Amino acid sequence: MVVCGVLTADGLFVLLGGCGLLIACFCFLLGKINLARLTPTIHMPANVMAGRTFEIELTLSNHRQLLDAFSLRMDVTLPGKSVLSAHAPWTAAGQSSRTILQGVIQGRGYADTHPVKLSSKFPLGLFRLHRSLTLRREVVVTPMPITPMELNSHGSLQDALPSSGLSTGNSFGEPRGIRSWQAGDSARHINWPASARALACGHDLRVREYDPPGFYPDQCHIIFHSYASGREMLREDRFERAISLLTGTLKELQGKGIPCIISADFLDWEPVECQSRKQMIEFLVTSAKIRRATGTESHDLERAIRLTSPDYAVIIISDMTPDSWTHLLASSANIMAIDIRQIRYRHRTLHAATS
Amino acid sequence: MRTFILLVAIAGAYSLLKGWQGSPGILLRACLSVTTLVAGLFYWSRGMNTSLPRMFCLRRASWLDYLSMGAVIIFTEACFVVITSTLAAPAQELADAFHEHASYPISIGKQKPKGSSPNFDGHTSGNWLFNNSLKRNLPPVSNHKPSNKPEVFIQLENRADATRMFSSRIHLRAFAMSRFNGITWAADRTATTKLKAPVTFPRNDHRRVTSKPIKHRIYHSPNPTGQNVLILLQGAVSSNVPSLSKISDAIYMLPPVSDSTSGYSYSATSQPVDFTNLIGENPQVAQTQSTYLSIPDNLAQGIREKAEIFIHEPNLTKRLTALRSYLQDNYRYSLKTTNTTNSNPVENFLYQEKRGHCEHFATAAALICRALGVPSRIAYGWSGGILYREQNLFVYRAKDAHAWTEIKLNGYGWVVFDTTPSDMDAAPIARSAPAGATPPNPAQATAATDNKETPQNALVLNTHNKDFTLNRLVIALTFLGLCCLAFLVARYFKKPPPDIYGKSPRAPTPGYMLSFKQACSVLGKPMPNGHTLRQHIIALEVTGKPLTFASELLDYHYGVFYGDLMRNSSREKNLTKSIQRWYQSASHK
Repeated sequence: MVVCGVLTADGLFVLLGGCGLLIACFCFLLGKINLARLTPTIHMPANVMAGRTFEIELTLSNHRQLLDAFSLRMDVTLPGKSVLSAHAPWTAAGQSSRTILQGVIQGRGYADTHPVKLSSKFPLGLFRLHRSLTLRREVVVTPMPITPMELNSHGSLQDALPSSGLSTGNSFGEPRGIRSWQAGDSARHINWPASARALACGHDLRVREYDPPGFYPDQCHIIFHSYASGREMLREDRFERAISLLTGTLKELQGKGIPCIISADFLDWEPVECQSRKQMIEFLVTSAKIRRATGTESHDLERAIRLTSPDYAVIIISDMTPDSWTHLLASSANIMAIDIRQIRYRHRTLHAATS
Repeated sequence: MRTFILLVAIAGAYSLLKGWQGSPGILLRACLSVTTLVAGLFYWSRGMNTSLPRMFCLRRASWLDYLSMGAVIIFTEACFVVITSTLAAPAQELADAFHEHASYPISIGKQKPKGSSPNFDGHTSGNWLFNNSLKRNLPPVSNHKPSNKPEVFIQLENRADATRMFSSRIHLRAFAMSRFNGITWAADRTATTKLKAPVTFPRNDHRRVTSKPIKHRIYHSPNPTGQNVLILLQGAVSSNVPSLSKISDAIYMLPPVSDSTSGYSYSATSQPVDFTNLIGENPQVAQTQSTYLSIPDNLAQGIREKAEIFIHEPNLTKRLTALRSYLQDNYRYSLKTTNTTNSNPVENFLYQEKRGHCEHFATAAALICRALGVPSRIAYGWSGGILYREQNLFVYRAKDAHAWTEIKLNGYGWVVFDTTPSDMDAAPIARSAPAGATPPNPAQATAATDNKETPQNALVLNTHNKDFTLNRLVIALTFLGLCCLAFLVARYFKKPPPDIYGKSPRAPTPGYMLSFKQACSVLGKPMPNGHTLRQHIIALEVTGKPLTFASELLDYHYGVFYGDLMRNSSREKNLTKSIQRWYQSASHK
């Protein structure tokens, strides 16, 4: 407008343009002041699970003595590239603004510093000024657990549930009938309601009979590997899903009181015991930081399988399709291979986001 | 949409600053203009609000917050009002100076004008007369708001002359131009001739002028542009100006003043001749060069058609009288012309808008006179004025600036032929100052004239009360600024200190919880950080200090902090009492 005013010899244009420039300078200066001496803080759980909502408290403290802060936007970047944003219309001098949000982090991860961006268009929206800060707070995002469908098919682990006797028995792998107790039958297979009725009539105990027999380990050895033969394509998302399957397996077995040992290539095949809840949480925290092992060979996997105790059932999880590694396994009922290609089984999503 | 509204706000602010006929004062217009701009900007920024979750300040806004914020906003707006109301004229000067510099970068001779705005309309106070090619445009659109600034003073030698002048139309001439190309009047530049005092002006064809010469003294300030033109009563005979430069037939330039704080003062003698006084004498057209009879080709047909209206009149006097009556009766005087079709200003005046100011009347009359075979030219200067009888002093202000036609008659030379309607606004007539009024001292007035204080347009505050208004504005601004500061300082001392500096202040712990924690500490079971109230109550039960009112305490505490229960002071008081009783009983055990 100043140039236009000068060219047309119109003083009013020059004046309005000059005022516009003055307003712009004033707004820029005020915007800079508006972002000075502000401290953001966050309060949130130290350990959260990917895909699960949690409460996060965002606080913005204004340490200025006289000038209030107006129209501030706060963006906090959490692990997994999740960004939480909030708008603080007014923060009085020496005071704080606060809000509590429901946060969700889609992918596992770990971070002890979090970038925070404060931005503002105050006072008149002419400029978007921003200021970058870093918050120090350790946050661990454990993988989202996905229970493999193999663990619940063919009647596997059904009897471990206290209410299994109430099953309708119409589906494959479910109880097919009840028979008299025989020597050698596990006490865990006794169907107590039917036994009570039978005993009342003077008969023996009744046990459930399954068809076909399921997977009922007393203790389990979980092997995780990233080996594949052939030319199978590497997919980062499948690794994340495999980690989720590993976590889900662990939680499922832990919930049924089955002690586990984990051997994984990303742990350099060092066996990790997971017999208590505390050990499981420690492993989950570890799993938040792991990275895919890239040099796994077939002999590594063979050696890991060979080292498993015969008393342990073996569950093998991989981020590669079973076709490329099942040929290494001996045909045994005690080994369960988890297929990475399973989708949408008992979970809202199996697409674990990459972190 | 919001950008459109912002543009409308800017246009509105511009219109308000520009003003209109009968518009309010500049201060009010500047206030409204700034308010319009701020409203536009506010709306513009409002459209960018996001729908993000809101963070709420832990302290509720108090009346002091609203007051201080309001005061700051008003203070800022007031600053801009002062800027817009005081810097309008300097901004116009800047724009004009740049425009002049860009339009006429080459100076001719020693008489280099610093400006060449072609407007000689009163509001520029005669500061911009013509460009360095001795040309002056007829503006296609005009909206003049002349000021009251005194510009020229004429001190007459005796009362008789003053009375004689007062009873007739006075034309104080600065310069005249003869060549017209349809838009621009121009004077033929001659070789610059230096004249020394006493200067006698050529009067070869004035043998029939018999009026008594009028001796007078002229006072005026130097023109800030350097265009210091000799100003005399029409029909100049001689002058005692020490030196003059003649650059055209009717343009004489004064030498620069030696002292910038002093103005021009020189005496002269004139024999003004007005056509009105010659009506009974049957004057005839003088023989002269063709320049004074030329009509631009693009206007010739229309002008000759207009001249046809008067050609049937029996003699020259009647023709010219009829022409003057025709223009005064059929055209309206107005300082504002819109020229919506953007046509030639003369055509717009004669055929379309039919209104204009003195320059339009004078130009039209000059061209029609030429079509009638009468040599004519246009003259610029002042007319009217205020007479201070006791001092024999005429004072001419900026709004007395005027333009008129001069025709050349045989034996009379150049004669004033003023066709502008005669009233107070158009061709001003001389007025008498109230009896006892003190006239401005010409020497002081011209010396004290601030060259920078050119009332470029109506944006400038009135000259006589400008300082007063500015002072009031400054006082108001100071008061507002002090109010802002006082509110902010009051807020600073009033605001509660944060809990821990650097950490977010949280909601204060209620009294019953403080009592509970204190009691637990004294009983040797301090409530550790991270323990919930329920956990701690269970821990107390385990250690043999059970709370009989545990369920009541838990219900209320969790209901208030995590449920929808409102705080209840009586319940809190009862809980505090229960805690005290529990503490006393536990401490006795």
